[in-house]
Amino acid sequence: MARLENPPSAESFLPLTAVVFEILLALSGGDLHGYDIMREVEGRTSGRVSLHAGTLYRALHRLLRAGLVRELDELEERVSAADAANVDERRRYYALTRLGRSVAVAEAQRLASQVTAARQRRLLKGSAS
Amino acid sequence: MTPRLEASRGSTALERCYGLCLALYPPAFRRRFGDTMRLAFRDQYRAARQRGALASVKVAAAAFADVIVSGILERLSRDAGDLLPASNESAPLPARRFNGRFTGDLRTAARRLRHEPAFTAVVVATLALGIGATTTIFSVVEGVLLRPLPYREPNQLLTIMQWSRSKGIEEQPSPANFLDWRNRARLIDLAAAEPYSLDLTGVGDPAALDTWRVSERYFETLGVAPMLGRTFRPEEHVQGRHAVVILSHGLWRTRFGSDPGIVGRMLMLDGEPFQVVGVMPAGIDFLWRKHIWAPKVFRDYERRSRSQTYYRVIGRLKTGVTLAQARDELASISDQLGIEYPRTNKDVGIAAVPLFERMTRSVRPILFLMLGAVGCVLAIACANAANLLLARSGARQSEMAVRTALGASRRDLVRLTLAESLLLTTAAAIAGVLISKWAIALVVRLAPADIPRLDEVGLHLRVVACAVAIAAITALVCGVMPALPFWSPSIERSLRSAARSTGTGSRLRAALVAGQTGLAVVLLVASGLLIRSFGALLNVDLGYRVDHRAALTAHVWDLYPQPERRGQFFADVEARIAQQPGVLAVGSASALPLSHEGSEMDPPFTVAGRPEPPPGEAPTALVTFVTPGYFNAIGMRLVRGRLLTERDLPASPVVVINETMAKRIWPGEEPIGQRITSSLSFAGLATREVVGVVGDVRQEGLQDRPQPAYYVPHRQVPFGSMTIVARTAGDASTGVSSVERGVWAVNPRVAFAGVETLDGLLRDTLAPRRFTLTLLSSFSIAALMLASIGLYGLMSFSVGQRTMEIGIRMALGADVPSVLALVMRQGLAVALGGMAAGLLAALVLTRYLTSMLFGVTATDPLTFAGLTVTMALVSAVACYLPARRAARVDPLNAMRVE
Repeated sequence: MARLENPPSAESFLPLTAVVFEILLALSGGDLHGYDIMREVEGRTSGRVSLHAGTLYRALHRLLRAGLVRELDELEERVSAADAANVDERRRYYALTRLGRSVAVAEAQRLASQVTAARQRRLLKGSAS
Repeated sequence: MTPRLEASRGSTALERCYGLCLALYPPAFRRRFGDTMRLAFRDQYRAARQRGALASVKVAAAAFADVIVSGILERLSRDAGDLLPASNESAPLPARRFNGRFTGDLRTAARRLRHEPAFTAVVVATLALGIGATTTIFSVVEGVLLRPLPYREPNQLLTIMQWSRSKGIEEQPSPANFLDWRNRARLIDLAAAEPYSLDLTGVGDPAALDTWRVSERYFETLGVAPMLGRTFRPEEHVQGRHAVVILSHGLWRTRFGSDPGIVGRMLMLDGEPFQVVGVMPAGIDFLWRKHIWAPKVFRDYERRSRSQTYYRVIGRLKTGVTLAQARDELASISDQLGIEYPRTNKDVGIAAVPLFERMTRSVRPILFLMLGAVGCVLAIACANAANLLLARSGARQSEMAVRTALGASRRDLVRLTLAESLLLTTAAAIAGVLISKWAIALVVRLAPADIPRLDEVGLHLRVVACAVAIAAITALVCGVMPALPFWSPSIERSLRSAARSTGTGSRLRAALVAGQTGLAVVLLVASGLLIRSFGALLNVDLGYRVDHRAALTAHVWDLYPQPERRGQFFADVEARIAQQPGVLAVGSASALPLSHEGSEMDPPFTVAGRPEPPPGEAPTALVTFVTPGYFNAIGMRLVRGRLLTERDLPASPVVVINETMAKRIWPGEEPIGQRITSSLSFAGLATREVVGVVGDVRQEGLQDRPQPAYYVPHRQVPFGSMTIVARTAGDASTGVSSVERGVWAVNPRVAFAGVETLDGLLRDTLAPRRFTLTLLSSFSIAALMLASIGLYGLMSFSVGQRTMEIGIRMALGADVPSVLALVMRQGLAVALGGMAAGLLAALVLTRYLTSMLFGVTATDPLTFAGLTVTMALVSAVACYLPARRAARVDPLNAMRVE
């Protein structure tokens, strides 16, 4: 897949699908491998969203091609993993790219503005700040 | 094995299945993410297992569904369109449009199926059952009947037998006949193998190795090359240079630890050094399974022997020669020999049958029966799935009508239903293949040993392709049928009648249910007939007892070359065994009933005082050499006269005959005191006096009528291959060790060729029937269940559709019994129609079962009636449940529905 000369703007990706946003959200906390992402999403949503490998990697495939996520090489993995002894060579670790982070931020802002709108129309309780 | 290891092994099986699903993804994707996806699945599954069995099943099911759906989606969408529309420019336009639209359909279909988990699960499970069963049986049929033999040009290979014209049976060839055939045949290469036994010592426990002594160029004729070393050289078929052997792959692996340096090693066989010159590859020795091959050296007496028939002869057609030409040549050779040796060969023809045909002849009907049965199950499963889809589409007609009104074309609707079917059948195909992976192992374990090449049966590419083809056809059938009601041209009409079932749809569904019921009846009747046959066989009077009896075979020809010492040896051994604790009786015979081994002889005999019959027309009887204790040890019954005793010395030859022989040779006469003359191998011509009559024994098989037979005292003809039977107070296995101890106390160098219990022998005899029966019964029970589920589904649906009508009837005064009757009548009409068709079909089809039946006719009225009643009862229950629901309808609510 050829790299694009001019990276697209973060806004051009919006709105994100729920799965993609969950993955970006998970990776914003640090570099993770596939199963970690699944666990992170499940834990954060208290099991309401459960991600399986098929969907996850299909989405990761797209994220990698779009340049929102990149795969860590082995050296980075060792440095990145909290417990260096635990690095499994067969695993792939993923990290957000700069573009990926800005897409996640843009999506979060979009959602936030929608939440704000919802509060202003009294759909949600809480201060409409 | 530690539990931990076991646990990890369990999950790897599931992981492998998961890996199998990854085949759905495009190769590039699979290469990139396959391993890590498997790892993620493994971690997730293991974590779920910590939370309990239910959680792990849930997670595994969700993960499999997920991987299948996203695999299909990934393969269908060639772009990264979700995120980056710009990257999609390269795909050609029509393909993109199709992909896009069909991917959309798939997504819609997946969503809809997810919202109806019960429906999805039932359809997938039904189809998976059908596909799994079909794949399993097809695997066995493929492995046994369709795969070519592992020999060079296997179609050129023949087995050659002697054909007894007067008896109309095939016999193994004799050595002199084989040699003459080989020397005279020009169109066919012949080679022979002689069954033999060599005792191996010096490598672990002494063991009697089943051996073939093979003629020159045996392996070349067969068309196999050794895996290690070489085959025999021509000069090795000469006395003095013959001490070489070739090992089977199995023996090489188990006895010699797959030693790659085995060639050249010396082995002690029958106390003499033999050099190993080669090892054969695995999978070639299914033909007359043996452990070891040695070169055959023909002795002078063998070159003259035409009456002893025990060789196995194979032939290979020379290039360009047809089977008919070879048969013609063999026929003229047998005619010549008949003229040259009228006394022995006048009656002997030559039967040449292609090797493959002979190997599979006995199992072919069983396997084809299974294939037919499993085809019925698949048809029922498909009908059931189609029915469920139809019922659902009927219920969703208003949705479809709305879609049509909003601009969806009929083609769109068909595509949507096809997409659903594709998802369902893909899932079912994968589940079916997984089921069949497990079921094949089960079938192989259950199957009787005489099905050739069973160990090679496995899930092969061809079989998987077959499952995929079945799934594709099913997808087409199930996909198109539900869409049929929408081929009607008027949207308005379908909108108006949306809530009611359409006539075509319900008639089609009723026909499907009737068809299922019919097929189920056919299967039930077939398995019912087999069950009755099996019961009849179990009730056959064997003429002896099988419980608490162990049987060990020893060949002592080489240990005791002199006949008198052989006689003494078995007498000593029996005395020792009788002293062992727990042994109640002991005796020996040259051949046991139902063992199909040992030395079975049925030479002709003449009766003293009667004129000598013309050659070839003298009566024959089965001869067994027995020690005096044998009758008691095996539990045979004395009818008249006396049994054999230790005092029956060689000077006064006697025999004990069976009842059939008494009736057939001396009808209405007193057999005791009569004399017969026969020539027995190792004993020559002798006249023997009948001293007793014993009950008949099923010697050959349970369903064969007893043949004339007589028993000769071992002391008078000291045969060297005897099976010792010990009756024990306790378990038969204690008898085995008692016999071993007793024999080894007399001579520790004796190796046992066969160790069995008599009930084990009986079990082996029944194994092919039990196998057929088990499979066919499981298929027919599955068919019964599927058909009744189909009927239940049809009636539930119909009751649902007619709620308002029933409500009105009840409001107008119909009572509960009349509503029950209304619904039951409708359902039973469908079921009875199907059953009538099924009974007719069964009447026609069960004729093909005749060869497998025993003690019951193919149109046994009891079986037909009993199973029809069963089917009717099950159908009645399947109708009653929805009918009861209908009768509880509250008229007010019912009429409010619309």
